[in-house]
Amino acid sequence: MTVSIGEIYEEVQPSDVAPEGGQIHGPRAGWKLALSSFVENRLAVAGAGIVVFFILFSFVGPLIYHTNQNSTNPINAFLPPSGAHLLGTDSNGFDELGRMMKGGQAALEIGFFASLIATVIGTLVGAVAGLLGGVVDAFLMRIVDVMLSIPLLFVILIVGDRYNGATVFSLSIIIGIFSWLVSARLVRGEVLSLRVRDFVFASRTMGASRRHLIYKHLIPNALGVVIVNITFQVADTINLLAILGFLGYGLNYPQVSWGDMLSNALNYLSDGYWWVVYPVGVCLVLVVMAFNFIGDALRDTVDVRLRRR
Amino acid sequence: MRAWIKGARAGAAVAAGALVLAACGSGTGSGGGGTGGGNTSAFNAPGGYGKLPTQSGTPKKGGIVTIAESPGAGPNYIFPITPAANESVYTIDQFQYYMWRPLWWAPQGATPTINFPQSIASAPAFSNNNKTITIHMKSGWKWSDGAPVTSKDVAFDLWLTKAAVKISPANDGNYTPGLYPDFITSIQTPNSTTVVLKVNKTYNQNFMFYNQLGQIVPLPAQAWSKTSASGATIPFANLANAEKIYKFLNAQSGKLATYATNPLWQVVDGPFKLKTFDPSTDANTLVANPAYGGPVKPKIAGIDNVAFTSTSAEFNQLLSGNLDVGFVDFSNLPQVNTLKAKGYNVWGYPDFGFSYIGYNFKDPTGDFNNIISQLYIRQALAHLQDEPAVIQSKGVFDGAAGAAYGPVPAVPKSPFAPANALTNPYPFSISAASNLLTSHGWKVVPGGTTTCQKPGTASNECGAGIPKGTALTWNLIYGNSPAVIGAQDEIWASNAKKVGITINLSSKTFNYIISNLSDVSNPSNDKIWAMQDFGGFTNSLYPTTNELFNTKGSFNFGGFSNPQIDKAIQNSISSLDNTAVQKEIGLVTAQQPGLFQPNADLVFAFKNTLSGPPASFADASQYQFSPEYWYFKK
Repeated sequence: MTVSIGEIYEEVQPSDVAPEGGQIHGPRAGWKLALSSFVENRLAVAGAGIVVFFILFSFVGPLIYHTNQNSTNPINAFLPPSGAHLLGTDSNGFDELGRMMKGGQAALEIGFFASLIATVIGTLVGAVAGLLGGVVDAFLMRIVDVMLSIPLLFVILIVGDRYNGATVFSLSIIIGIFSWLVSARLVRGEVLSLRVRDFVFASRTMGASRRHLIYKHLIPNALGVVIVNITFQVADTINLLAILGFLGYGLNYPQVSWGDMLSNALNYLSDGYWWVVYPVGVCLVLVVMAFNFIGDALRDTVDVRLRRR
Repeated sequence: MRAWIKGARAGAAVAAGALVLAACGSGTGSGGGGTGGGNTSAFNAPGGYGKLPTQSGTPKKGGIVTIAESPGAGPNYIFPITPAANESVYTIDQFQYYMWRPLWWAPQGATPTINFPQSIASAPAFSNNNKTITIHMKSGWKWSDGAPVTSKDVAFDLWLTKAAVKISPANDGNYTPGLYPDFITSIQTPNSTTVVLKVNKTYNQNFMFYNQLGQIVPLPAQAWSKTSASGATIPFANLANAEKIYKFLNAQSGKLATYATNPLWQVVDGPFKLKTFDPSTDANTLVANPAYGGPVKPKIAGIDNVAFTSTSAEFNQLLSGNLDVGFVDFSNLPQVNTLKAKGYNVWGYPDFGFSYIGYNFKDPTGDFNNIISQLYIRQALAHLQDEPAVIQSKGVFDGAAGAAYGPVPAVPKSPFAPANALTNPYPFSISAASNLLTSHGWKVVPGGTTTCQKPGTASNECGAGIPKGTALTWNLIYGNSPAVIGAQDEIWASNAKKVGITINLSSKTFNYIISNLSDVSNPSNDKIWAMQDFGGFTNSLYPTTNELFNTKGSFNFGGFSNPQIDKAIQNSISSLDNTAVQKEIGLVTAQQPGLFQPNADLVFAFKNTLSGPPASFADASQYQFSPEYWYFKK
C-alpha cells in the first residue's frame, strides 16, 4: 500500500509531535500531583477502600443489620453461624456480626479521637519548640524525652487501674494525652527547617507575630507531615486499644471494642467457636494494615523527593 | 475464701478466711461409707456435670496414679498445724491429709457430712451443758513406726496448737481468738482411746463438733515430742514445753528441701508416705504406707503429684493422656468430648460453698448505702438473677454448676440447709423486680434510668435517706479471672437494665479486690465500690456466717448489720438449739446481704483405666482425693 505525504501530514497532529527540547506542561496543582501519586499506589487505594468499608460497616451496618446489643441472652451463647445470626453468637448470646459493628465503632472513634488529640498537642508543642528554640525548645524536648522513656502501655494501665470505668471518651483522652510525643518531634524538625525559609523571614520582616507565624505559615507547611502521622497514629491507637482490651483494661461492659472481643474469645480458641475468634481478628488486622498502607502512601505523596512529577 | 468459686483455700491463704479455715479444719471427704457407696445417681443429679466413674474391672496391684496439682498452688507446708500464710486446700487436703488424718473425716463423697467409718474417732459425747466433751477413739489405727494412734496424740495436737497461737495467732490459719483452741480449759486422757475436753462455756453442740473440733489432727507424740532432731522426747502437756516443740517442728517444716528425707515426716498414720518433694515446683511423690490402719489399704503403689504453671499446660497433658487425674477448667468444657475420646471420664460437682456479689452498706456514693439497706431493693436485685440460664449457658457454666440462693447452696445438699436454700425464694422475674420498685415509689424506666419519685419511709416510699430523683446507678468491681465471674455479672447487669438499674462493671485482679476492697481493717476504699465480686467462700461443715454477716464479722467487708441475724448467729454458736444454724441460714437467705450466685462445679477428668468406688472419685469435688480406694484395672 502506498501512502501520500499529504495523508501522513493529516494524521500526525502538531500536538502529537514532541518539541525538540522536550514536552512542556503547564504547572499542575500540588494536590493533583499528590492525588495522582496516591492513586497510583494500589496498596494505598486498597487501604482507603478498606477504611471506608469499615467505617460504613461499623456506623451504617447497624442501621441495616439490626441486632440486640443491649440485653444478654445466655441461653443463646455460642450459636454457630446461621441465617438468624450470620456470624453466630458470642458468650453472652449477642449476635457476633452486630457485636463486631459495635466494636468497630469504638475502635474507629477512639482511633480518630485519640489521634486528633495527640496531633493537636504534638503539633502545637512541636511548632512552639521549633520556632522559639533556645531554652523553650530544650525544655519542651526534654519533657518529650522523659515521656518517651516511659512505656505508654505501662502508664495507661496504671491510669486505667486507678480510675474504674473506661469509656470511649476517657480512653481517647488517656491515649491521646500520652501519644503526642512523636508528632511533636516531627513537627519541631519540620519547623526548624521552615523557620529559616525566605517566606517566614519575609513575614517576620513585615512584623508578623509568633502566633501568626505558627498558625499561618509553619503549621500549614508542616501539615503534610502531620497528616501522614495521623494515619499511623490511628493504626497505633487501634492496636493499643486492642492490647488494652486483651489485657482486660479495655472498655467496660456494655461497651465493647475488638480487643475486648478478642480477649474474651481467646478463652475459646481451641473449643471450636471459630466465629468469635477469627472474624474479629481479621477486622483488626485489616483496619490497622489499611491505615498503615494509607500512611505509607501519604508519606510518599507529601515528600516531593519521592513524588513522581 | 475461694480465689473465685473453686480456688478454695488458695484464696484463704491470701485472706486468712476463718470461715474457710474452719472448713479446712473440719476436713474434707473420702469415700463415703468407708469404701464408698456404689450409687452414682446421687452425684449425677442436677448441679453435676458428666458422669461419675463406675466401679469396674479387676483390681491390679500397684501402679502410680499421676494427679495434676493446681497451677501455682502446690503444697508448701508439711506440719499439720498450718500457718495462715500456707493455708490452702492444696497444702492440707491434697497433701498433708495423705499422711496425717484428721480425727473426723468428711465429707462422704460429695456430701458435706462426717464419714464415720473413715474416721479415727466416733462422734463425741457432750455433757454438762456441752461444757464437757468426751471423745472415744477407735482401735486399730497406728503410726507407720508401729505405735498405736492414741488419746495422747490428740492431746499432743491440742497442746501444740495452743502453743502455736500463743506464739502468734498467724501460726494457725484456722485460729479465731476465743474459739478453738482457746476455749479448751482442760485436756484429759483417762485411757489410750479416750479424750475428755472441758471448755470455758456452753457452745452449740453442732458448732463445736462440725466447725471447731474438726480441726483436730492426731500427731505422733512418740516421734515428734522433741526439740531437736537428735534429742529425746520430752513431756508436752505444758505450754512451755509445747512452745519449744512447736518451734522445732515449725522450723523443720520450713525446710522444703528436706521434706522427703527428714525422718520426722516419715511417721504417718495416713495411707501414704512422702517419697520425693521438689521445693522449686512443689511437685511430689508419695508411696503407699503398708502400716495404714484405715478401713481400706491402698492398692496402688503410690501417687505422683505433678506441678503445672498454667491451666492450659495441665489441660494439654490431659489431652496427651499423661495424667490419670486432672481438673478441667471451664474454658475447656467444650473439649470434653475430646477428653472422653482420649479415655477419660469427666465429672464435676459443686463443692460446699457459695459465690456471691458483696454489697457495700458503707458506700454513700449516690446514696447507695441507703438504697441497699432497703430489703425490697435487695429482693429486686435477687429477682434479676437468672440462675437457670446462667447455669445452662455455654458462655458461662455450660451446665457445670448447681443452684445456690444463700450461703448454703442447694447443691451439694447439706444437712443444715433450710427450706429456702433449696427452693429459690426470689426466682428470676423482671416483672417481680419491677413491681417491687414501683410499689416503693420508684419510677421504673426499662432500659433507662429508674428514679425515686416518692421519698420517705412509708411502706410505699423509697426508704430512709433516699432523696427524690435518686437514680439506681452503681458500680460493680469483679475479678477478671476466671472469665465466668464477669460473664455472669454481665448477664445480671443486663437484666438490671431492663428495670432501669445501671450497674457499671469494671474488672480487677483477685488480689486487688482482696487487698483493697475486702479488707475490713482498711476502710479507706469504702467509698469506691458499691458491689464487688471476687468469687466466694468454701463453707465449714457447720455453715454459720459468723465471720461474714455478723456485724463484727472479720469478713464483713460490706458492713452489713442486722440485729436479727446477729442474734441468730450467736445462737448458732452458743445455744443448745441443734437447729440454730438452719434458722440462721434461712434468715440470711431471706435477707440477701449479697447476691448469691450459682455454685460452680469442680470438674475433673479421671482416666478410664482407673477405677474404684464412685464416692471415692466424688470426693474430688470437695477438694479431696482418696486414692487409697483407687486401683488400676487389669
